[in-house]
Amino acid sequence: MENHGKFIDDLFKEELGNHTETPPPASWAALEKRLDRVPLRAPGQAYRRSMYVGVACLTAVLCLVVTKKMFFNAYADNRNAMTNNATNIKSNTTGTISKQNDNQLVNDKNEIADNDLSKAGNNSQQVNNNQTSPANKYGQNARSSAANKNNSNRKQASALALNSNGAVTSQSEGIAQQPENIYNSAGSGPSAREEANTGNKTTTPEKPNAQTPATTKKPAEIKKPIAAKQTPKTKPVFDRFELGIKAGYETGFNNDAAKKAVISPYIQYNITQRLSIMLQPSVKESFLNNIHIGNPKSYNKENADSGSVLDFTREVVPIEGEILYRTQFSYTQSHDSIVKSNTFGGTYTEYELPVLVKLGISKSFSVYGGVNIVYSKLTGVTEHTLSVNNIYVSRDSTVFTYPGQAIPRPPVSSVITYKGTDISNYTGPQYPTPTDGLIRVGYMVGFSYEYSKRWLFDALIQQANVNANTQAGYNINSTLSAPYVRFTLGYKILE
Amino acid sequence: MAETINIVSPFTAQGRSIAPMHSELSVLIKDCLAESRGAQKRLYDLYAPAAYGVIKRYLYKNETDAQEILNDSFFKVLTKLDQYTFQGSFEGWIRRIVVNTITDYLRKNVKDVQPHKEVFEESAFVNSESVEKISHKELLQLVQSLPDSQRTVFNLYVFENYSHKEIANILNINENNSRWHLNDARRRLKEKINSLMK
Repeated sequence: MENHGKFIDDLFKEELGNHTETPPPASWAALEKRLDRVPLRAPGQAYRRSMYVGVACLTAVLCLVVTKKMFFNAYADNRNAMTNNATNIKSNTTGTISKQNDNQLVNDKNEIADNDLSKAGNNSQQVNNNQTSPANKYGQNARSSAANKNNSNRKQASALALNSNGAVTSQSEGIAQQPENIYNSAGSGPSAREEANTGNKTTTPEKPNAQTPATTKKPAEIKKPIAAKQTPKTKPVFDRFELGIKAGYETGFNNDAAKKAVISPYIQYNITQRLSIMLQPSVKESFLNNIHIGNPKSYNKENADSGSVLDFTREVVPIEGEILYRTQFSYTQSHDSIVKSNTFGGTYTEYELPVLVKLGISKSFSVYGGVNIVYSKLTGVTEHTLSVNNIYVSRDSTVFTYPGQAIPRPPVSSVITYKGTDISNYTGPQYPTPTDGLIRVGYMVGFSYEYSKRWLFDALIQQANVNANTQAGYNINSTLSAPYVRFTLGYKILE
Repeated sequence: MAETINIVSPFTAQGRSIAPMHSELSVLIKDCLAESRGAQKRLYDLYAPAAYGVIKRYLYKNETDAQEILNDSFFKVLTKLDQYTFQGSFEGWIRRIVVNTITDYLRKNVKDVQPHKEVFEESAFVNSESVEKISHKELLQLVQSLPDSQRTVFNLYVFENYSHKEIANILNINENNSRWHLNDARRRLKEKINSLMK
């Protein structure tokens, strides 16, 4: 190893370590084309996919819960209806009906006493007919009641109970009694029916069944008061007003959309148990990523304080017996490079007042939709300035002169030139900054799920279009027009 | 004499660098992330000359491939800019991408399956006074005159500070071969410098 000299690695590292070479302009053009083919990167795209999956899962879970709840409610309603039917019939038959029947029995007995045998025979036929008819009715009622149907069944069942008179008490114990019980309870039985059909006149007038006239005469007159009593029209019991507050997050479906934090008190007027009107005024703080529009403009500014530093060397150049002076002028100057670019975005506040109609699907799940009135400031374009100061440049210029000739000094501007425009040509921001506000009208649809007595979860979609405002080929109002999805957590203050 | 201003390489530690200040760089990167073509062009203008200088040290004669590597490198820079964490030098981050792109290219294109077992450490010193007379361009040409494998190993070892083990991994060669290439490159360069001195 030699102990003197320069190590070859160090030599190359010092000389070529900072080697630079300007790539040809075509390189940028090729790169630009390649970049154009790349789909625009949406801010938070990865998160957005997760969000969609999350929303889908949440919706699926909600659907499951709601379906289960609805099914359970329907089952519970049926059970309640069955219980109510039985209770109503029991109460009606043991009270009013029996008293009325007693009175009628007395009347009927008197009437029968006045009648002759032929009349009694006719009556017995009527008994038979009337017995057959309610029996059929009851057969239907028993089936329909067993199928857990409504009040009309209960009316029929009650009417039947009256017609059957003596069997009222036993009927009231349950709806699912057999039709034969009705015949038996009427006190006539199958044998009595046969006699009546054959026109046997002797048995009926001599020992008139006290219950038979009651069933044969005016069953409809008895029905009415009972039916009125069985279906009393009561007012629905529910609160008219509901008051609460919701807070959450809103994001858009496209890349131009902002991210918004939302807080919204709401007041709800319940027209019926299912239908209500809701006012939900909101304040939204919106955050929009800065988006560049237009092309940046480059300016330069010569620094007056440094000016140009001139240095020159002079040499004698002999040319075919003559002498020329070669004077090498060297200029150094500093300048600032200024780049002006334009973006729009940042934060802005929105106020909205939706008027919504809400429809309850189940006890805890409801959907709503309506008109949304939104107010916000118009989005503006912001100008940015990027400055790089004190950039030094050096340039040489050579001048040849004959002896005795004055040496012209080349002007600095012809030796040192700059790219871009002089800063004196800058006339202010390229795009106007709007200060006006804008009211716009849109729609809002969503659903609400109450997962406890006080707490509820809402998801909705809203959009309020606005006319396009194209600046440098970009619609800066697209942020306002974009559809948004919102998730909020609500708390009922007054329920 | 209307010349364009040559921007001093932002990779350059010495001299009047116009590499943007940290805050300006942040704005520039943010603008690039917002897909601003103007900002991307500005970033390219700032860093491409240095990157191209690195590439040309490896591929001086092959202009087309050099441009393709530059294109690939800056495509990666601009599309993976969100992965830059502002920890460490941005220039260093770009340089690493450029060198990785070059080594990817070299791995595919530089083949060296011939085993070189004997490694002789030769004196790699040159006369410092006479070396000063050699211009920058001549030195660059000297490096380019080396065979592909040797030039690659020499570049990776001297300029990128890779060890022989790392070079061996990058180029899929064994460490001995890497050492042999480096020594042979030094020997050749020394011979050429000496011949230039005469």
